[in-house]
Amino acid sequence: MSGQSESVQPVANGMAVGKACFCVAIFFSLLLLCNGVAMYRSAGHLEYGPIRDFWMAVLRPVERVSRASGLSHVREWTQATVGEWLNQPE
Amino acid sequence: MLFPTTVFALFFAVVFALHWSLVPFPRLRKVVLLAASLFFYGYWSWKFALMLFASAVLNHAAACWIDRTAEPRARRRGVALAVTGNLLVLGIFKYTGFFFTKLLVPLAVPICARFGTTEQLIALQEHVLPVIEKIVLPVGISFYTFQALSYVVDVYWRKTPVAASTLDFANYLAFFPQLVAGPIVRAADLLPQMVRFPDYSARLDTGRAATLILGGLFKKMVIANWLAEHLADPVFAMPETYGAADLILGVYGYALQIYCDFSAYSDIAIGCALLLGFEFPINFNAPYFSVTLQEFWRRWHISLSSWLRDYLYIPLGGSRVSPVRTRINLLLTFLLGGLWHGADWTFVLWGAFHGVYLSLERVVRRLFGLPERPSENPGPIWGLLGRVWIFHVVCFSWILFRATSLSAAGEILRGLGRWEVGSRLLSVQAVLVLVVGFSLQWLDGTRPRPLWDRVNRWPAWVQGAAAAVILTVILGIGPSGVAPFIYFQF
Repeated sequence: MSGQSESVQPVANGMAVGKACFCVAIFFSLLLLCNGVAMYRSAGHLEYGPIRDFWMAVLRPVERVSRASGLSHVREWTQATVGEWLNQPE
Repeated sequence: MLFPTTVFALFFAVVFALHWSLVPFPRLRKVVLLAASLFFYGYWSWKFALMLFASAVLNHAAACWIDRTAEPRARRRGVALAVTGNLLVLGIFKYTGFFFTKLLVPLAVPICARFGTTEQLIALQEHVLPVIEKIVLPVGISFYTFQALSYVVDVYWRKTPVAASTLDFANYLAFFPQLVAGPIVRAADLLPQMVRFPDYSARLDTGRAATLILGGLFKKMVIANWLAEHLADPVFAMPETYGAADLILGVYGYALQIYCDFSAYSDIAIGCALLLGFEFPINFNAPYFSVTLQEFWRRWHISLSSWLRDYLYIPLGGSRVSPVRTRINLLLTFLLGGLWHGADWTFVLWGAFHGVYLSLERVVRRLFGLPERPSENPGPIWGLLGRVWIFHVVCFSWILFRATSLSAAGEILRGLGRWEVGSRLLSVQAVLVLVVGFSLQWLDGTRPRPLWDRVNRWPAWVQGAAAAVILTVILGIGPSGVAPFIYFQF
């Protein structure tokens, strides 16, 4: 019927755990900065209440840094060009 | 908790940090991973998280008892009890409604009409249906039940040693990346990793992990969601309003949607596990490049098809019995495989279709003296023809799989003969998304190894920054909103 499931051999040139942690930290920090404006905007769409207030308070400084650094442009530009063209209603 | 959400990103960041900072405390590390997995599952329902934990405790207890017992008959009784218990729980949650409303009642209607007891049947339905409607299917129950079954049976067959502790087994069963939609990882593959957690000497294949996670998110958030919204969902919701060309586009759309959706989940699961230092087997390997249906099942949902082969098809006798019995085994395996996917006649018919077609393939191979396994290189013309043919055979079966009922499937099949001028769904975007969705199969298996190796050579900060920018671009391209993965319902 079907064959053996295939496994991928572990690599020799993989990253040491410490470096991988640094890599993941960079990833999450930059991801936050690139998407701060969009996240703040979507938190604004939450139902009024303490959860919304919490996220608005947490994301407000992120949004400011994201906007000031210009990193929010990556997402805004993609959304305004490829995103809108691809997802336009029929 | 869904993978492509802020909540999961936060959750994973915390789990990743805890997992690697607790290396000097091995036991605490295991407890934290189990707590994280139960939190991941309990985020949806705490009651079902407790049920999952209970399943881990009971299955491990059963396996320990089977392992300790020497008397063959007692061991057989033990494994039978464990298998029955697991299947009973799965049956109650998943198949009670199907058994009552789609099997028992339709059978009882003519009998009651003959004996004049229709009113009693209606009264019974009025009592039973509200109870059935209250049954909620726990997400991923089919996946973790199959994992638990494979463990108990492997211990019985003495193919796998019993887990060192309930904690190790619970971590194997509840490990969050593969918990709700697979891959169905065997105890032999994952349990040793759960006993000996990776430490600081591990080398993480970040290039592969990043490619799998980002590729998976692209498949799900951009391709699968777009195909669902613009092609598959409209066509399958109202097939009678579309002509043949649009119906074909809708079916192609669904074929690629289900591939991009399900393989995306597996890819993200494998990628997340890799970052935590665990290795899962491959679950998809370019299934639409198959030349035969047999090959398709070696490439599609590999963990399920190999599970069905090892725990159902081979114990039934496999292909080492008479040709007729082999065909019956094949049909039975696929009927149950279909039923595993969902409690409806459409899934049973889908399984039966695959079982019958595979039997026919065997007959044809025998008739023309062709080898049991198709050639890796059947030549350009035969290869292309075979791939196109099998893609369409599978597309046909997806109609049964996706349709909400047999009559809806019939409506689509009738509509395929309704040719009209023009198409409402054809657009540059549709063609582009279909071509990209199909081409993404080149990222399956070990094909991108050179890419992974190249990424692995980049400095850590470049890898992190590049992944963040690529994910931001994916978020910008994808439609807004988060659609659940198709296989969550199974």
